[in-house]
Amino acid sequence: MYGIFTNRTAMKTFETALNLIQKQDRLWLLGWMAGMAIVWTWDYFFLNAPALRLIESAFLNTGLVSLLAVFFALLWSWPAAVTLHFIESKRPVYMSVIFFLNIVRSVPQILGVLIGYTVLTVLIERELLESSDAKLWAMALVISFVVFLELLDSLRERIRWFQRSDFYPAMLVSGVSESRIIQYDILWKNSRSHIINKLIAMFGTAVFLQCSIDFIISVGLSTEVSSQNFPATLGSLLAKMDSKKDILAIGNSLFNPEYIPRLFTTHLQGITVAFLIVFSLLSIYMINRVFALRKRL
Amino acid sequence: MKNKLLEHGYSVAAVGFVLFFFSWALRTPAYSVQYPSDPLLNKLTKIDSLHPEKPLHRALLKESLDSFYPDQSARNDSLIDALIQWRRDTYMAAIKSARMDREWSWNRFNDLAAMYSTFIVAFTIVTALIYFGSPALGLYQFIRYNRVCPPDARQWCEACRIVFKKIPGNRSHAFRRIASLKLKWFLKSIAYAVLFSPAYVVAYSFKTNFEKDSMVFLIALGFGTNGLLITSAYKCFSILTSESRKGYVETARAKGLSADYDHLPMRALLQPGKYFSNHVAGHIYKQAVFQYRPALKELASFVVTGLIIIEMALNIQGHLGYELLKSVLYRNWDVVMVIIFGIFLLIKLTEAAADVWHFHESNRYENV
Repeated sequence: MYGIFTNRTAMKTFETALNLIQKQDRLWLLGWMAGMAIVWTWDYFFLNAPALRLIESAFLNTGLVSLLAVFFALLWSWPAAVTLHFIESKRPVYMSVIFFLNIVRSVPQILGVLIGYTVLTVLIERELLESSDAKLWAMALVISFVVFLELLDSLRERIRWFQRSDFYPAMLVSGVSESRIIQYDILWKNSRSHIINKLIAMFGTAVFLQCSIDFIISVGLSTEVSSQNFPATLGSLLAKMDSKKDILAIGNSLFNPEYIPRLFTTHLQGITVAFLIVFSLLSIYMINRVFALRKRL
Repeated sequence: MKNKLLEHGYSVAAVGFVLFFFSWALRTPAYSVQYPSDPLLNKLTKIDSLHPEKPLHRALLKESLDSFYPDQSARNDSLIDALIQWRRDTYMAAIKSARMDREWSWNRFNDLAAMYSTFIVAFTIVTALIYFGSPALGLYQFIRYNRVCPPDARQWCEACRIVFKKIPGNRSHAFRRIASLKLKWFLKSIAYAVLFSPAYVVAYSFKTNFEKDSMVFLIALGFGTNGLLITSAYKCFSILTSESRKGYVETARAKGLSADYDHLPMRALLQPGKYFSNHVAGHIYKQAVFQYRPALKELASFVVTGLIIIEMALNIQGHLGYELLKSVLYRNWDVVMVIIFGIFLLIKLTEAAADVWHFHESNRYENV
């Protein structure tokens, strides 16, 4: 097993690579991609083609919805942060908006998504939402509404932090417009790392919420509409009976170790989906964490 | 403080009003049989003994209709089809209505109250476990992060070099080191897999059927899965890291306090006060915990999310999350609104408690 380390150069290369993995966010990203590639290759040889195609489309849909959700969240929170800054002097309006945002903040994310999906279900029932692409965009919109507050808080925190420093009045007396100071100098030039860090974290949250809600609605949110009417995602795929049985096999193998090899051949669909979810969440967390440490955020 | 509490009160009132409005606006009329407008079809629907789904009844009806209306065979066929369709729709509507369980009664109220109480108990335990557990985990991560000792990978490479006699050293000690590192990595992988798994993945690994008495299982899942504990610990770690960069830490070090994390006793992590004698870690921790306190507010919302996901995904009957999902499915908007209001109220109460606690602690520090 340790044969590869008989060569000193190989050993040093391996050591360097491992050290880099522990420290570098980009290497975690590469590790994530590599993990996905290895699983895909394995599935390509051992999983039947229809199931593989289903997993591929579910993974792509989950990734796409989560990315779109993050994009939409950025789209809402940036103007919202700037607007809130400018209406801060108008106390009644500002206080009303903050009051409303605090209420939204107190609604658990899963309830927000559930309410949003119930609306989508009604739209599907009334045949107002038919195409698969439109459903994906709508799902992303729903998720973005429940996660955008995290980014909004972060942006407002950055603006406030810079406002307290000398930098802000100095720029103002230099004749730079307030809007430019906030949008360009504070948010774009000096908070990019913070925003990216938040977006990575939100991407993880979006993946988690997406998988959870799709798993939950596998029983359906309507007697006419069920998860079958939504595009396949990792959550909905995991909720299928086959996948559940595959996951149950993991627990079975803990008590019967001789069963472990069969996990990677017989129970591939469920194991793959579960692995994709857990490994993605772990990788996103590690990327986020190492990125924050590297940038000293 | 008073303003904050007032704000919480107003938001509860506002949400209550909105939910009451939706509950009223979305109310569905009580079920009543809608008879078809076609007079002949209307007459046929009122014959209780007629079951056109049965082949014999269908054939007899067809013959009767053909004998009464001899030259209208196609119309007679469509009449029978319409009758069958009407009976099917009426039957489905009756089933749906029966499941809606619209009437509020003491029994219904008691059932919901019992579910809500169970939810509150689970919520309180999980929140307390995470809230008090994550600073310890965050501090553990912080101490490990600040240790100068080489990372595990490097230690493993060093041990391998000794084993293969590339560098001098005690081989049996190196073997033991490799074995312990392997065990550590294995346990770490398992821990990470569980901590980052959504609860339903972990739960379905063990069983497929979840009963009402799954309270301990529910709490264990709520505490250890869905990434709640690790995210909360990471928040604490971030606060500790940013605190450690502040000037007072440098001053403390200059005044003689130790900043050596390599020899810091880990058993102090298990103490409630996390007292590190003559070490900056204790001071950093105290400041960090003070800053971490308001995180209880957002934690409440995340814990509720986690618990609802568990109850809904595992279909634990007799629990609030499952009842909510079932009520959404059968459009029991009254119940949906009551449950959502109950959950919102729970979160607002936790937020208010966190605000009061933070206010008192702030005052205590200011007086000192």
